Amino acid sequence: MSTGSGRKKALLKVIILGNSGVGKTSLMNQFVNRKFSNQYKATIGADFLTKEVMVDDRLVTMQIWDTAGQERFQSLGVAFYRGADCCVLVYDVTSPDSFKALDSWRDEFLIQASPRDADNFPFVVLGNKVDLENRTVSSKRAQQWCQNKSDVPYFETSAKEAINIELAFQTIARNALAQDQDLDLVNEFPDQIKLTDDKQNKQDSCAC
Amino acid sequence: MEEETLVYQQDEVHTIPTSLEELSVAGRLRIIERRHSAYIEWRCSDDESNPDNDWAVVNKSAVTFTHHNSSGSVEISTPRRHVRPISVELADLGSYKLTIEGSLVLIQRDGSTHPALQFPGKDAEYFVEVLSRYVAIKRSEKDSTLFLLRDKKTARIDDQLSALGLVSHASRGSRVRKLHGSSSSDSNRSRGSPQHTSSSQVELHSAVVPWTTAAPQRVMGFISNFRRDPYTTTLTTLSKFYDIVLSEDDWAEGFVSERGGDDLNPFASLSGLDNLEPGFQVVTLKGKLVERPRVERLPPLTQLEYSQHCDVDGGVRDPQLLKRRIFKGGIHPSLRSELWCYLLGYYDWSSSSAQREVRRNERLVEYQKLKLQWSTMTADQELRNSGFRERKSLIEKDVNRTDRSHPFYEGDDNPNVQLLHNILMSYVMFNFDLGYVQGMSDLLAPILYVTQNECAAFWCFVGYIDIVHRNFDMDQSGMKEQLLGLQHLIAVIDPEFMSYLESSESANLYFCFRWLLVRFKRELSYSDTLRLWEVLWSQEPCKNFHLLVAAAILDHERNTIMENKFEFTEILKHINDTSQRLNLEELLCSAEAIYEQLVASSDVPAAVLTLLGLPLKPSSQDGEADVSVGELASEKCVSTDEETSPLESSRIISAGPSSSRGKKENFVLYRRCDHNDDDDFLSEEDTSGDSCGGAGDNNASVVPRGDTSATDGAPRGLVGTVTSILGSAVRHIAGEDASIDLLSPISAALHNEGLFEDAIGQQYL
Ligand SMILES: Nc1nc2c(ncn2[C@@H]2O[C@H](COP(=O)(O)OP(=O)(O)OP(=O)(O)O)[C@@H](O)[C@H]2O)c(=O)[nH]1
Ligand SMILES: [Mg+2]
Repeated sequence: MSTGSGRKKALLKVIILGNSGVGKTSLMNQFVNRKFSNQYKATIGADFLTKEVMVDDRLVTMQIWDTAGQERFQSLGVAFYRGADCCVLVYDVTSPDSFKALDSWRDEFLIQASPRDADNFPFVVLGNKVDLENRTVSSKRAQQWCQNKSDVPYFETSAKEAINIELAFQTIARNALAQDQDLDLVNEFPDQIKLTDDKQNKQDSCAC
Repeated sequence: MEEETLVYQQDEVHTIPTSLEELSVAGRLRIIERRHSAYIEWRCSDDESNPDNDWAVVNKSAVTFTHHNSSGSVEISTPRRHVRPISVELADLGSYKLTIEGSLVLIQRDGSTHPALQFPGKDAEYFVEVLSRYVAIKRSEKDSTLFLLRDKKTARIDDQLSALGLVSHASRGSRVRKLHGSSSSDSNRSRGSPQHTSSSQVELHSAVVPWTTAAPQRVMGFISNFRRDPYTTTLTTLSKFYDIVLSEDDWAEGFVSERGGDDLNPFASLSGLDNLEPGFQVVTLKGKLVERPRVERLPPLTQLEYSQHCDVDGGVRDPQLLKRRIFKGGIHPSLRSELWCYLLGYYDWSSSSAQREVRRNERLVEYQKLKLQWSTMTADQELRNSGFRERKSLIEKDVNRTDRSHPFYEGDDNPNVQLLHNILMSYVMFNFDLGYVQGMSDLLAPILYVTQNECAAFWCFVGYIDIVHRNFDMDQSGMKEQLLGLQHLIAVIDPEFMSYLESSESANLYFCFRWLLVRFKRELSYSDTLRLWEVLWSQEPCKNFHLLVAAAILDHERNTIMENKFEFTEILKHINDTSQRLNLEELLCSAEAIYEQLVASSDVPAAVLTLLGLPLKPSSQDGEADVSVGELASEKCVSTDEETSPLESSRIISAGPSSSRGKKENFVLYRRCDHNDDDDFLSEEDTSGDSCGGAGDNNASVVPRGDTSATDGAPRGLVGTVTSILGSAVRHIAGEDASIDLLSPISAALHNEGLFEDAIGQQYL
């Protein structure tokens, strides 16, 4: 008769970013609920789903945040970036614009979330909708981009056909956990605080 | 398969429909022991799929499905299978709501809130009995239907400690909240209930550890927040500071004796501090609001009743009277398609049937012109028009995911989806600057469904966007203003809740964003959305009534939020999960009751009166013409202080002596009022508004009492340290000394008796 009080579950916060319509909500739901529906609505505001997964024999809870992709609403989204352990950047393989936007999504995330070690913060890139015929962004181009960003893991997915979803989220969970543990390590040695650490991310975010 | 032990099972536990459209679904409720944990599970009886236990956490409310026939006047429902099963590990269950009618809502510690379940025979006694073998259950003092769960061990230690009288109840409670309710999301991972930290430790002790180790992150967090939004960060920190100070039992007493036989109620100043709200005007109510009256609503306006409002030509005799009637009860579905055209300005109230015929024909020609403009655009033209292309692609994506579960828009190649597309594209040509913004398709879909006419729907949509266009401002200033207006309201209606939100970094009310952007459409069933919208369009009984509706929802959730000690993340989740479960008629009653309450109360701050378009009362008009919330407050705050304001033009934001574990130092925070920012009332038609965040343009300074220069010397003690940091911070904002190094007092503090850790442990930062 125990409520499992001795166990400590790690909570991993994952943020999914990308242009409106690339399939962020669909990917999240495919992973968490194993369902695809064409009845999902455009995301307004933000929400998260949680799912427990095993990462190398460790039970972790993933808290996956889904925000609206339309540019105008980004000033809201940034409120949720803080404390993320991994950032998933999604583009739609049939939309070059959504691929081009990856850079600005990544930059915006780094500015707003100001992770301790921006260079080594875990990102994962997903090229979604590979089930569609009219693909316009080649794998090679996407891989190139990921290599240039210090070897960001890249997956080609379909939320609709459930292609590569498990694999991608396993990697996301593993990298998030590594990030999480890194932080724990650092936190055991508070002497290491460098107050100037996030200066490189300094930027005024007021849009006025 | 893992081994399981079934310890409780109850069949015929039904979901509770919240609207007429929804049908109740029967299921089986069980408590199961699995490995080292116990789980509560509910599964739809005829859900034969998903036999595996893959539903680790179920996040959304049960999906509701509806069938409307095309006239919309009759609604029949068909149940769908695969209502989401529920599975909650007991350790994750924070509380539940259980009514005497036997309806049960499970609320998780992370805010996830499950759909209501109905016990057969209204009897949940045995369920509760089994549950209490695993967890300690305590009924909320504020809400008799709310039950809070604690780990048994923790509960026992708690009780022993309080029996020994070592820790006073009040301060202990507040400390636990501080320790466990982390605020910035970066500390999420260490969040959790007491029982998650370590079962072998006394709670207080084990709980301290994570905060100390989280120190570096919190410092970095504070600094980066400060860079991003210095004003809010500074004041949020200060307000937490107050929270701690106020929670110290001895402080209030000390204050009373310090003040001696003053005629002022010592708690007057307390309530002043309680009201500290974002924007940081103190709203000090001179008197309390009068009690909220009971409000009754009427049945919807019927054809017969409507015909009595019309003259022989078919014009409406007294539009105001009719609108008032629509406000009180809404419109019968059979009348909607006609009356919405009036409410949304497509028809004039006074027009005769003949005139309306003319109007329809004129508007049809106009609409067709607009339609031609985009439909004849060649691919080549499009290539050179990126603005058009972007809008078009957004619309195409969005109409395909707008209300597709509603029968009117259901299925592949549904022609109504094409109509949505046409209307939105035509709107882009009608108003290219605004174009298309996400959320608009949500506003259009019900209109097309009701009018069942492309052209009428277009012009009604134009009328709706005229009302809500500020929701779609490029810089979101319209949304920010509404959220701010809502803050003002909550601060007046429920100062306790506002100060709770303040202390849990939720005062920005971001979790209401979706409510406001699409006027509650995502939160309500279809028929309720139609009802609410016509009520709002009546523009009765005041401006911005939708904010009162929002306030009514928050009022409904406030106990659950506070007693579960939810913070930003959990509140957002809880609020998102209450979607589709609101009782609209009840909400409209409370919203109207709040309105009546405000009207009947004296001393409602001018900002709130202006927000609702109510006349300023004489009591709030004395003094200068420029009456603002802060000024009303300042009289009171000044008088609680021994010294008078050192800055002539200052308005006091909040003031008060403070103490923390024996180290005492008093300080006063001022903001200059040479710049009036309280008049940002919301006007739905208003065009101005470059109030964008405004973080940087507030002049403020922190002045430690008896030491006007915060950075001079080294103020001693925790309070001194924090004050000094914030002092420089605020000066920095005020631009008085741009060269000030923000970090130096912090790093100095780090070398100073571990005071900074202290501050972090106490969650000042
Ligand atoms: N063919 C195909 N369509 C997909 C896939 N994933 C998503 N879609 C469709 O793409 C559209 C957008 O998907 P969403 O998941 O709503 O996109 P989103 O990124 O969440 O968009 P926002 O909420 O607006 O930011 C929907 O119509 C989906 O049905 C996929 O893998 N394949
Ligand atoms: Mg989405």
